[in-house]
Amino acid sequence: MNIWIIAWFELRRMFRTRTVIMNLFLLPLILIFILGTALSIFFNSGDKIPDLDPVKVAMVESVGNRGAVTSQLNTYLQGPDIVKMIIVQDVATTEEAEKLLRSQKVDYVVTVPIDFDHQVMSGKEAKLQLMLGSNRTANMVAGTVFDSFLDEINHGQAVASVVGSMGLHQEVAISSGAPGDTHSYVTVGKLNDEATSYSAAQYFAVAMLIMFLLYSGSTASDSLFSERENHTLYRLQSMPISHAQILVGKMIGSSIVAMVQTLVIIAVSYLLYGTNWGQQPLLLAVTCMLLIFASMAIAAIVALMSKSSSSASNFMQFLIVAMTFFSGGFLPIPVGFIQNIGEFTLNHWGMQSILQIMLHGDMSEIISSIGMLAGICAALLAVTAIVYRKVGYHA
Amino acid sequence: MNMAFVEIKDVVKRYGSNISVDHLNLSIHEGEIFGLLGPNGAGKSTAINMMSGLMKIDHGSISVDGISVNDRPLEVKKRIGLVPQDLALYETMPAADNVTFFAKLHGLRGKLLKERVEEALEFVGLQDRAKEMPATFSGGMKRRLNIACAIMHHPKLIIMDEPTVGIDPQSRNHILESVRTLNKMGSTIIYTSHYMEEVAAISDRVAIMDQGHMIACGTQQELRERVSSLEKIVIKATQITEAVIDELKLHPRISRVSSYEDVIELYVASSQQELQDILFICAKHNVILQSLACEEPDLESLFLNLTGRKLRD
Repeated sequence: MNIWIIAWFELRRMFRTRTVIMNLFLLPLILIFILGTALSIFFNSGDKIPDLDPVKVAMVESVGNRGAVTSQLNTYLQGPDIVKMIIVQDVATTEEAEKLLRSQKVDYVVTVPIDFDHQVMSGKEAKLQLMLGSNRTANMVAGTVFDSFLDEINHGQAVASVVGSMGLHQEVAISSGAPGDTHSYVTVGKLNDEATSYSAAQYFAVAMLIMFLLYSGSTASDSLFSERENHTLYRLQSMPISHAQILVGKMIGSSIVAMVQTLVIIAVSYLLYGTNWGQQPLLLAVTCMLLIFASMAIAAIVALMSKSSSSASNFMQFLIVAMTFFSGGFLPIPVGFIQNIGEFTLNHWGMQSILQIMLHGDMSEIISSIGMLAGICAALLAVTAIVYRKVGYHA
Repeated sequence: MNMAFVEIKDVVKRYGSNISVDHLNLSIHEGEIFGLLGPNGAGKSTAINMMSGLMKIDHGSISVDGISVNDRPLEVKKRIGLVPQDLALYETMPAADNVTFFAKLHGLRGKLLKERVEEALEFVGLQDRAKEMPATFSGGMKRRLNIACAIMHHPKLIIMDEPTVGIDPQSRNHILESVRTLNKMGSTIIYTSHYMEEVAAISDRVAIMDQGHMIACGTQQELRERVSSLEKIVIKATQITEAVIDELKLHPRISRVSSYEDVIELYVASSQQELQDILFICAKHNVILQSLACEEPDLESLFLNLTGRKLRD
């Protein structure tokens, strides 16, 4: 009962402190908004695919080169998905096409060599002559379209070299379909058909939620020290309650604040920024609870072992910022060794779990991440118990 | 009044190689106001912490109301109201919430809780400020709230550790009057201070501690009798030099000499016999006398007599 009296008092005390409200509730929401908006360029995900203007391509077909492969190319370029990306303009000569490119009337020039069909039919590598314009994005789009066609043709060549010309004909027939078929070699879609990609807002909502749950541990650590510095711990210890009850009561109070913080961040980010937190509220709650336990355990260890509140506070700050950085919480870092270090952080496993929940990911992966978090929690709680037995929480 | 409510037997407390309390033996009777007097660092607070179950005893035993502090510290704590030397308040919580919180930890609930909180605040004269934050209080008001947080559960034993440090005379008198009232209401009081006048004003019995030892214990009358063979001469003067003090100390019939600011205090067997010598020495060193008085010895005199130092040294 005394534990709950202390927890309730701690809760009331924290909610009376303006800085706590600012740091635990307002700051994460502001950061989610700022980071989610400013860094969305790094995410090619469930965010809307930007509308690009079709690339104007000048195509030069050498006279007399109207074989089967060239016909296939023309059919391919008329495919419904392709015409959204490139507009082909037939041009008589390469010089004329170059002039159009220089005057920026077209973005890209493709010349079909005079012996293109012959080269392909004789089993040699299919090549087109390409002339790039000044727009890198247009070059990339057009290049991808034509590379895709050539890859398919060269794939057929590879089959022919292994199984013979019959195989080539069959392969061409299978892959290209009947003449005039508008089958496209390119399929436009999301990499993850079942909403398995996340937006910048989602990513940073998760990262900031975890970082600020860890900060709630820092607040708990400050609170443990303030009891010492204000001499209220001395009075508490003169009451008919054990020292462990005081510590646990305060930790429970701080944990309840962190739980309220979690609910507020999730609810407000959903309502204001439309952040989708997935369809697994129970697993989300378990993940957040484990993060809160871990954060409180770290806070207790640091507070019990530190000599001053400033050293405890500095250490907590460093630890939280470092863990957030290495786990990619400020920005995903595609550097191998940093990602390897990140795997040793609470943030990493918390993010893995929550992002998988958001993306309707494989249940085994979610459970695996939660299992890792639970393991870390158990280890931290064991260390807390050892440190408490050795050092204690005294005035 | 004769039954030992607090029994301290051969208690020792060490901090590394330093002994803070050295083989302390003390009996405090039920219903008395017991003064614990001594300079800073004498071991008073350590003794109190051990009595309250806040600090482990290295050697010996302490019992409160017949209950061993070592064996059942939580039972002992239920009987104690501790007023710490440092203010122990939540400054951002209203005064009433401070008292209510500590009252709940003592097991008070419901109507009784409300009554006791109101009673405690009224007792210290803060009933009108119950909803205000202690952060807005004066030093004296904070001290009074500090007391309210320790008495709302009607403890059998109230331990007050330097409760008047750093406050104005009016608040000090209020607190001393409160101590007397609490005692009349049935609580045994242990009052520690390094202010001799305070302890002398309210205590039935006094123990004097110095460097971890108890150097004297008894009623004020008993303690005075230990130094009654001496008389105290207080000289107020200017141009007091080291030389005059040294020469006074060398006088064979002057027991103790101390000086602070423009005052010289001397302890002699007979002031009438020694006064002429004292005045002669002062005149020899060109000390200009402003006043001279002969006083009865007090607890300060006893401490000086026993240790050679003043309480506030």
